[in-house]
Amino acid sequence: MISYWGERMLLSFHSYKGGTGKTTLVGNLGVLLAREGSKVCIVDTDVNGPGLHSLFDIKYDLTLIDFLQGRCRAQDIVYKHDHEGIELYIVPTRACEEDISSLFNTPGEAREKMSELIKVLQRDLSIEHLLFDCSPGINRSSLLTMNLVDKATIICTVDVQDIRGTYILSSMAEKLGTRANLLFNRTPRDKQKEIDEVIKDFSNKLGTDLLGSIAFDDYVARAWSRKLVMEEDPECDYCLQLKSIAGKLV
Amino acid sequence: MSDPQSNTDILEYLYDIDRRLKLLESRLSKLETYSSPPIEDKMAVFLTVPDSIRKSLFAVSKLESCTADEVSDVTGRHRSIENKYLNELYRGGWLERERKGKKIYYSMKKKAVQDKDKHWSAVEEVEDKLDQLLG
Repeated sequence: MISYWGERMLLSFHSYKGGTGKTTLVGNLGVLLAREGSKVCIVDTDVNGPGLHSLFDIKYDLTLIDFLQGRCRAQDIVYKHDHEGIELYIVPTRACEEDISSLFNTPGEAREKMSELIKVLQRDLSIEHLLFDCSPGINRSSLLTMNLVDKATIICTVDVQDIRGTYILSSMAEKLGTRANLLFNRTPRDKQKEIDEVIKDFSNKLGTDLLGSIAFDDYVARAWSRKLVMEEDPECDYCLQLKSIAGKLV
Repeated sequence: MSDPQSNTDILEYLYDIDRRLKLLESRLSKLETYSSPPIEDKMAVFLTVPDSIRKSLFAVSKLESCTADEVSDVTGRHRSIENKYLNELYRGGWLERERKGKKIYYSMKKKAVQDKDKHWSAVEEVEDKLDQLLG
């Protein structure tokens, strides 16, 4: 089925450093796509520092880890986010000191198990957009996900640590043969236009597709992951910027 | 006639040895992946190259330039199997090969290094521009 927002897609979201606004962005993007009529599922693959369940206020029982360890079925770890009848599902994870791939003997097995989850979500819930909130940095979980998806989005801030790391992430995506998008988040508002020019060049040279930038937003900061701004005020500045990004993404 | 009890004992010993060897093998392959450069390539290899063929690729990376015979010495698999795997890796774009007389020598593809430099200059450039913009 083709929704208003285009074809079925597997999308992953990465960043080199933590705190780039990844989870907030993925959560609000999920709400946006679901509000537009798509069936959406967000999977938290950040097993070392999960946060999606806090953003969506999910009281979980079984999580991604239980499924990966073969303790339950894929259907048991999907939680519906109830809000104004939208079709948005969350797969949370509990904090774990191991990396996803270390739960398996070979990367091939890890990949197979993740593919099984994707298959069930698409078959049983007719999920159109599957979003993966990945752990920051270069680690096997994040790269495993990058290898499974149609498009990987790298979220970067105007920070030299992040920018250097973005170069590493984009070359990883290239080696894995996954198309990479670049998105600058939390940019200084007063210099947004100038920064947009600079990052356009940067993205071209890295060979990524630039989605644009989102300026730092006080309203989002004040929401402190307690609420989703896309549900509170979909016409806010952050949400409008996110809509334009979403249009390029899917 | 052999004693069935001692046969069972021997079998148990053999199973135990087999189990320990497998454990050592898996630890060894983990150690190998930690000790050799470069990390970016290693990750891509881990995720995109099938488990069986990966061993051959790591052997070539270690030996730098080698024949299927030499790879076979490292992996402990038969030369004909290595021939098949190396050929697949060559077709997948992971290896380069060169014929010297009757022998074919395999080595890692070097293109990635040039790309890396090209991309790194993009980082330096964006840092310069942001320096000017933000101070």
